[in-house]
Amino acid sequence: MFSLPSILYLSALLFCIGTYGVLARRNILIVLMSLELMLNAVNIALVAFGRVHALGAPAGEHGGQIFTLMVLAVAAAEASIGLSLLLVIWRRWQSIDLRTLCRLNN
Amino acid sequence: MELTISRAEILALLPAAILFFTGLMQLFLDLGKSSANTRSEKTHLAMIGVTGILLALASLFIQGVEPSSGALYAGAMTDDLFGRMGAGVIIITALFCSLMAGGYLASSGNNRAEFHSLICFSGGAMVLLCQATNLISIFVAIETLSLAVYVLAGYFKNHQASSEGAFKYFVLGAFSSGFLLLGMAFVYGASGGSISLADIAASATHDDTLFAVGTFLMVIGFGFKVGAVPFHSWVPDVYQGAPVLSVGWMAVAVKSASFFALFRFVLFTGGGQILAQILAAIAVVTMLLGNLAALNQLSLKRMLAYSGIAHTGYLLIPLVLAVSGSGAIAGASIPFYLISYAVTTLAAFGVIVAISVATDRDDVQDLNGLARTRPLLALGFTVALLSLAGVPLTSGFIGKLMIFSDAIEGGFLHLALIGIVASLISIYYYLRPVVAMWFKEPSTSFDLIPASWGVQFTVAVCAIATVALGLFPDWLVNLSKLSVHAILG
Repeated sequence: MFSLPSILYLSALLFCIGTYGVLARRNILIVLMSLELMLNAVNIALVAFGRVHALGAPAGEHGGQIFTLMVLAVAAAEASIGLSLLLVIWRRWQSIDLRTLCRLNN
Repeated sequence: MELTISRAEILALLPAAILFFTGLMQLFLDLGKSSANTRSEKTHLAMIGVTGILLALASLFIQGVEPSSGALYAGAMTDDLFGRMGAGVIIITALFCSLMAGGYLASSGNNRAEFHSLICFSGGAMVLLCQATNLISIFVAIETLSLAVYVLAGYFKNHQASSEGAFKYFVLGAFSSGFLLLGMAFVYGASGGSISLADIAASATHDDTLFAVGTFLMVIGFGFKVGAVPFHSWVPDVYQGAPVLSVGWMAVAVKSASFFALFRFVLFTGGGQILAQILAAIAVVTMLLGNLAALNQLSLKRMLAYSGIAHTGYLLIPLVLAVSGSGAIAGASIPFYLISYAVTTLAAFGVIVAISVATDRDDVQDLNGLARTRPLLALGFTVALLSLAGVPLTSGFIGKLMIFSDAIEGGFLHLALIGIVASLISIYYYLRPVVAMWFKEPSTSFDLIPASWGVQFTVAVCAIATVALGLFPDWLVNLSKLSVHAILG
């Protein structure tokens, strides 16, 4: 068994990698993957908190786990919207580089 | 555990369920129709939408007999007056957007069922967001509405600016959702595994760092949705690129739903002095920067984008008061202000829809001489702009008066003063279109296509409502106070 802090550190590390990926990478596909990584990093934290708190709680108190399932569903929907927007951009510019998008107003 | 659903629970879910069902109906009825006749108005889709939205509005009043503020669905949502007022704002906005949609989409040559149904889907999610009382339902509702609105922003997929704006909105929105979710995880962990807001309020300790960081991250996530200043960079670009009608929907409904949910959250959890200070700083910067940046905007959509940022700043003041502890009195301005903002902004966007259908642009100079060519549209736009500026006899004035007087009573004199200065600055750019409409010669390039009846109806009703709320605000002010007092039971 791992302790709660070590799992939270793992979650924070993954979240930071995701944040870095969104901010620094120029490839839209990698940005989408980084967004998913951020959500899934939080999932790890939620499951860890849920496991710890469920030990002392009455039966049926599994908020963290249920939350994680919901987040998985939301992340899937988000990925589909992101990929369809990516498709629109690819058809128009034949490129998935974020720099091609920066021509709007600035 | 019992798995029974009471009558109150069904009634609480009814408005959102009707909206979702309407959206599905529209999609199914448009299946298999060729897109060759995109120029036709497809009135049957708009009619289904309007019927469904009116049914949802009616269902709000059915339950109005006896508001049950207890926890429904094991604490996932509630059915109090506050949530119902939020649902009312959103459903009325959806009604006007559906009325305007038929003519607008037909003229843009991109008339498909998806626009109507996306309005209904995001509207249903917003209604749920106003009623949500636990972390899971808040997150799922806010994500559902965001996903629908990303698509609405990029609806004109052949327009370069629309796709660009939508993608920018999507990346930043998903990024901020990550922070919102992280904040929720921290709040969940710090409060001993409680999901519902009432349990969190009961078990949380405000000096806990994890809890404070979690609340702060959640406020950041919401701050993005409402366009508060450090997180506002998407607003002008998205507003400029997106279809006018989507912008109107985003400006009114997304902002209202987010503020209703954020206020409920903050009222339950509090947050302590540090969070109050941070929020006060955000409010000041948002008010000033929004109004100053709007000063030299010549595009009407960009001007209204920055004006929307400024109004977010005013609306943050009641939140500051709620966080610092004097919430129940101060928050009464939030429902009133959002209702007034909704009718005012809808009147303004109705006119911009008419202008952009006729000229395919949205510059201030396109308004030249509108008072002579279309006096009623010009009158409606003038009323809307004066209300946004906060001129007396309009609902915008009453809303600002409530916010600033609450701020002074709550001991935040400096916030009220900065807000008043910011509103004075705003008069300059709100009057520029008014001057263009009434005192300049009509430009010959202005094509006199008559506005569709939906647009005329929206502008007329919303302008009349703006003035009526300014002259007789008492009943709505009392209702707002009642609703805020009802939140905590």
